[in-house]
Amino acid sequence: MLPGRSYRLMLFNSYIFIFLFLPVTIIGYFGLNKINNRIAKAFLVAASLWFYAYFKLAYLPVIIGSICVNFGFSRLFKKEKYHRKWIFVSGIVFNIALIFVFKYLDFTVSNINAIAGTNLPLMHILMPLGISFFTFQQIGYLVDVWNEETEDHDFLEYSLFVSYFPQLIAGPIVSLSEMLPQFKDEEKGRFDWNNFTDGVYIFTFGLAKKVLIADTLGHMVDFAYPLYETLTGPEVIASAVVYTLQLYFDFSGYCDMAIGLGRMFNFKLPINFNSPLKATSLQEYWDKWHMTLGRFLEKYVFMPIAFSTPGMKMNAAQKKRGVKKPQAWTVITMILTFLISGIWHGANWTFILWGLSHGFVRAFQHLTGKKRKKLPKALRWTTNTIFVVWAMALFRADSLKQFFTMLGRLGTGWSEGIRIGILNCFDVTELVYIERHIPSLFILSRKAPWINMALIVALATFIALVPKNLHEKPIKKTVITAILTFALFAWSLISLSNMATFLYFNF
Amino acid sequence: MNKTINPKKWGITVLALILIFVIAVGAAVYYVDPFWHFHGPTAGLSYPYVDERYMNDGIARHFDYEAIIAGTSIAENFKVSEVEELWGFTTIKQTAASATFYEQDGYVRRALSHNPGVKLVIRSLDATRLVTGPTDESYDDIPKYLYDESVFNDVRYLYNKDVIQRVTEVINYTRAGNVTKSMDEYGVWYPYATYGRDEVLAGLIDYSDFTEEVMFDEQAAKTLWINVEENVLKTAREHPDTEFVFFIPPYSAAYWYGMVKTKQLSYTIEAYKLAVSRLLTEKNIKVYDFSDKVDITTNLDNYMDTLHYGEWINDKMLKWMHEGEGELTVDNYEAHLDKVKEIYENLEYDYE
Repeated sequence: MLPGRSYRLMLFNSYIFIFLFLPVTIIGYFGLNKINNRIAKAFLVAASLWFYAYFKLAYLPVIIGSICVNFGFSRLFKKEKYHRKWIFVSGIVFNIALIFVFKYLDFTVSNINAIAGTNLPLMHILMPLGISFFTFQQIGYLVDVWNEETEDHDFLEYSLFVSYFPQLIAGPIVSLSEMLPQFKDEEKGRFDWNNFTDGVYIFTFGLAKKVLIADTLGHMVDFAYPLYETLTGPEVIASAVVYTLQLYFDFSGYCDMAIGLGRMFNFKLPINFNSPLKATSLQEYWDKWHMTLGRFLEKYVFMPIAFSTPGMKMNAAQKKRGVKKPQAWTVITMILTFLISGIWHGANWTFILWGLSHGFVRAFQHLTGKKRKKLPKALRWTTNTIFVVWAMALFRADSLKQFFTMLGRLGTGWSEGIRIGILNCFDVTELVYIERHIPSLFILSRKAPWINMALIVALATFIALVPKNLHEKPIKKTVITAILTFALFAWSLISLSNMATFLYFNF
Repeated sequence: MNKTINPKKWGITVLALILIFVIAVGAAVYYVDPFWHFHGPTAGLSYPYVDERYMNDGIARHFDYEAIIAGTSIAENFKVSEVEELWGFTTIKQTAASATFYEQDGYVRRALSHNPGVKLVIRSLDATRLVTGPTDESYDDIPKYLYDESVFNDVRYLYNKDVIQRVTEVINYTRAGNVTKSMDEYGVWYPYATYGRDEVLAGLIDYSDFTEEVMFDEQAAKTLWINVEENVLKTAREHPDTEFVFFIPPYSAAYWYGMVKTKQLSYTIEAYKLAVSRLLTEKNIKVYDFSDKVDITTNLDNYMDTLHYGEWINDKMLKWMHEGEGELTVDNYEAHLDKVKEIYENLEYDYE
């Protein structure tokens, strides 16, 4: 009867994770640490692999294989004297090939079919969870080993570095050099109330961002996007704005949860979001949005390409003479880096165009930087945010056709506004409950059915733009923060599941 | 309140509050159990009905019954008391609006697994659900965690803000002096319906674009065959002592007008022919058709829209089925359905 999906996720915002996985892993890890630190680490690796395998057992060999092969490559070219470079290159090729097969093969084949008129079969491979993250992380690792930027490490430490569950499926993308000293520090094997409670606090805020805000906004986006052919101009704009907020709260919330989890285990993961929607330029935006990806792309993509040209290698005399770096090459590298970022985000022309558009606008802002800085901050923020939201609409689209159809509808339906079905997506249980029990609010919600949408979007926008980032402030352990943490956790917990409304179509 | 406290104290306070919350909420939901997932109605509490997809399994688990009414909105207005009067069987409803065959069969199977002694299943044979995939569902978010024996996924029921709200509703409903309504009222939509010719004709569309005859081709036949096999016949074979009664409803003449105008009349009749021929291969299946009740179908005041008739038609259908009126047999079903086709092909419609 009514079987569930063939695969499932153990997300941080799931009951099994909160009620079972996390308590078992914390107790097991710190308990075993009292016996032996290496056994505890092995336990953490095993737990992380359980976390991963819960998605699909058949993909466990993919991540284990990837860990073994990458570690093998690093050992090989470290020892090898004559063929180092080729072994290193083979390692990089292995990772790219792995991600290509699982993520890009069908996309490539379907494009070949479309262009050449062939009928090559598609593989319809289900992409292994987090493959983009653990592959990038390991490419970075191979480069770091090649550049001799890593300390000595063994297979267990390396396995933990790749598989450590808080950052395994959605980042932050970490480097071995920032995790290894922490893994080696046996003191971190002792349960620490200060770190644990910091972790609980950060995790809870991340959970609330994801469950209470992002998922609420997501209902509207999921409802509106499939209607793209009939959306009115206001609906297109509302969908894009709401999706921008949704993705921010979703991804940053998830990363906060990851950082909080890391802290519970006494490990410090890098922050990944620093109020990016406050940015007044794309440079600032990318310094604050998915920061560890930006850091990765800068170190492993932009810099190697940028400095691979003779023109960029300036000696002191040239610098003194004021010789300028070739702008054209900087711009090309910038666009190329964003193109790679777009491709990394997904196998679809929407992501490629998204990456390219970010590249071009970033380059444009780079070229006009001085003049742009003279503009009022509000104007810079507005223009930058309009572009970010525009690009988000593209990022969310299932196809270029969907995106351009939506763009084409921008000029339509301004007298109609936003349809009731979309507005109803914001009728969350809490607001409806309050409105039903306060007659004046009930009347208001009937007279102005957009009120819930306005309230939720305004609140989300306020949180995204006004308060300081969670990681900027020290965590105060007071009675108030204890009650706040409990209340947010409890509210999020009972919001993990809800009742569906089965709209009667066709009866 | 704003004074910094020891992290250990802070942590223990937060964890203790969470633990108390988890125990308290879990206990409250378990005790009230608004969908009767863990137990039947708690003594002293009255329960408002909610969407059937949340309550069907609870009813099937904890109620006493010998007969089941299943199907979609065209079966929701049946009264179990009528079945009880006519057949003498205690009856429950397992209906769900817009359910596919797969979903309808799922509810029937679940009920039969809870109560294998069921003697009668009455189920609708919706034209719109004949040619659907064997595992198609009308919705993505059917609460499947209520439809299995796993205790682990019950957390989705125990810690669910909407369910908690239902708990408060049960309490408020009881406090207001209400009693749980009879099963006759479960899933019904007639109290909210407006009937009449104008309502029905308002649902007609511009048919000028439909110029090509829709063929009931091999692919459609195969899909229907598999759908009926998987979602009707298998269950009937597994329960030879249960009688399964299917009925083709008396859709309004405006519905058939739509079929004629969209060039789907032959398609629908052929689909029904194949479905009925397959159903009649099992001895414990009976099929009735009321499409030829022209006195009813042409009087649009009997309808809310082209498909949905008033509850008085449901009452009539139960009587007819009990009396054997409109029964299709291996010998008569083709001629009968051809007659239905002829009726609506030649009817003089005045709907434009």
